[in-house]
Amino acid sequence: MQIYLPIAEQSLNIFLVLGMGGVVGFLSGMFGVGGGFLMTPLLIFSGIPPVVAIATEANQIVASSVSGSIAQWRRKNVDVRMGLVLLAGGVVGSVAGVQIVSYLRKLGQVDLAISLSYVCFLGAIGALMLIESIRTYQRARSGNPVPARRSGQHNWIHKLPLKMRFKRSKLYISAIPPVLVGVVVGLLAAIMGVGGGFIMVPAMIYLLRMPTSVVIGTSLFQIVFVTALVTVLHSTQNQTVDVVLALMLMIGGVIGAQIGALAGQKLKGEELRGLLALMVLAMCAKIAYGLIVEPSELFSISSAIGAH
Amino acid sequence: MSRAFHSYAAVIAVNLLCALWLIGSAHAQSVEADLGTHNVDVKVDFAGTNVLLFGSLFYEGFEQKGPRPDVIIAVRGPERKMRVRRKTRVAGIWVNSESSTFDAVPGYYALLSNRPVADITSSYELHDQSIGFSDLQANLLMSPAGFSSASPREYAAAIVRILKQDDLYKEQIGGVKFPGKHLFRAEFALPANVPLGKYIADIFIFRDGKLADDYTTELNIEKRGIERFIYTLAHEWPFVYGILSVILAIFAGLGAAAIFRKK
Repeated sequence: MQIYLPIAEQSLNIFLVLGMGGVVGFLSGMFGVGGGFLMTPLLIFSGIPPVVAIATEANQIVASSVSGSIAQWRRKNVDVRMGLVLLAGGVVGSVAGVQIVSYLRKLGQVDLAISLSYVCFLGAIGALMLIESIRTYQRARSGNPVPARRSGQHNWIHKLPLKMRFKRSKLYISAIPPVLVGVVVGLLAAIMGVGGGFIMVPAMIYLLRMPTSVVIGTSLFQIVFVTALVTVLHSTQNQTVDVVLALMLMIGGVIGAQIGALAGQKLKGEELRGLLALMVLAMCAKIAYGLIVEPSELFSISSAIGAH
Repeated sequence: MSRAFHSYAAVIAVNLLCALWLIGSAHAQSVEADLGTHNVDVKVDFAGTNVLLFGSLFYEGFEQKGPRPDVIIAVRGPERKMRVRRKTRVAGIWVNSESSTFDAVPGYYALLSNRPVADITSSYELHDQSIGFSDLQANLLMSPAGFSSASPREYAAAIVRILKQDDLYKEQIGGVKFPGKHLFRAEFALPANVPLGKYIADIFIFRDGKLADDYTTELNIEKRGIERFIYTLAHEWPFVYGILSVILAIFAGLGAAAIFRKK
């Protein structure tokens, strides 16, 4: 059964779309990762124009991060003040990111920019995940306990001005680093159609030294607003949000995430995490291959947007 | 003086006769045709469709023995301004580097005939009637805006090649069938990625390689229902569309959270 996507202006198999939403939802429920960095490449592989893929994926992440942050909110795991500071940067980043996408689109380079960003990020994430899972696996075999992280050390961040008190995170730090983290995440959301949790969570733990209990909730809180803003901006400026596609992905994603969360409680995660890492690296390799190998058709056509 | 006038009058008379003969012959040959539908609705389950074209041929002396006339059908979609880009290798990766803009590219072109068009008539006649892909390609190059690239021919050829790959341009030899003595029928496929707008189907009747008659009919392809609503909203009120997309996502997220909590 085919479903016609009004903005992508093509039809896709409805079970393929629901299935992609389901599989990515399953993985994100199981490993606690956002699905954006997996879903956007899958959409591009199935023939959705990259600009439509990123904007539509931002719309889907609004839904998944709303349902995730509600659960965190109930457990009082959201540092609202920190979230708002991150969001301030996120607004700047996403406005700039959408401008960059519009500009590159006029130049005909947006597909390339999205592909290159994905090669870098999938490569980095995949490699890190693989190293992490191999290390844990080796430790588990040798029987040594995981060494505890040193904490409480002061670093260069504490020398910066504009200090703010974040009660929930028990921090008194400069607002500059979280704003900058927010800017980067906003840019990634606009250009890659990801929530940016994979950058934000490590940054919050290692750079800002936030307590791990509030990290997930606070990042989800920020992601809701940034992806909502990105959705509105892409709609207004590029008209690339396909709400029919987004809705299908939301449905598949929600169901997949529930099953994934249940499966994550029962299955041993490390081998599977290694498998996910290999999958991410395979995606990275596929996109990189597409850039390096001489295409069978050197020409491409598009309706002339902003052409003169 | 009077001689000159006489010869001049004679020329006019001959011309008139020729014109009358032409009109007469055009009346003698007659084609009528229609489409199975004049409106194709692109709805949520649209996955492409086939449109039937049927018609009848009448002319004097039809009953007498002689070769059956040939039928060529050209279905042309709405014209759009298109940008063609060419990739070159930059620092090891393939990058769009040069581009050329074409003002009026038909978004769809189907050429159907009962036998190869090259066998039906001369290339001169085809060009005269604007039939076929080589004519289409030549027309692409007649842009008032001029071209930025050094080799517009290659770009025009790329348009035809790519749209053929996308099934938007196609040639179907034997696509016109004769189920009855006077009847012909043809079916052209509109893929799911078909551009929307007004389509024109031109039916050309050739006898002995000469155009005997033609007939034109139209087809509209439009988004309908929810698809039309979404598309119009996204392009006419993009800000409202963006806000509504976000609201939908928020409700989807809230709904998922509520269902999960009950469990």
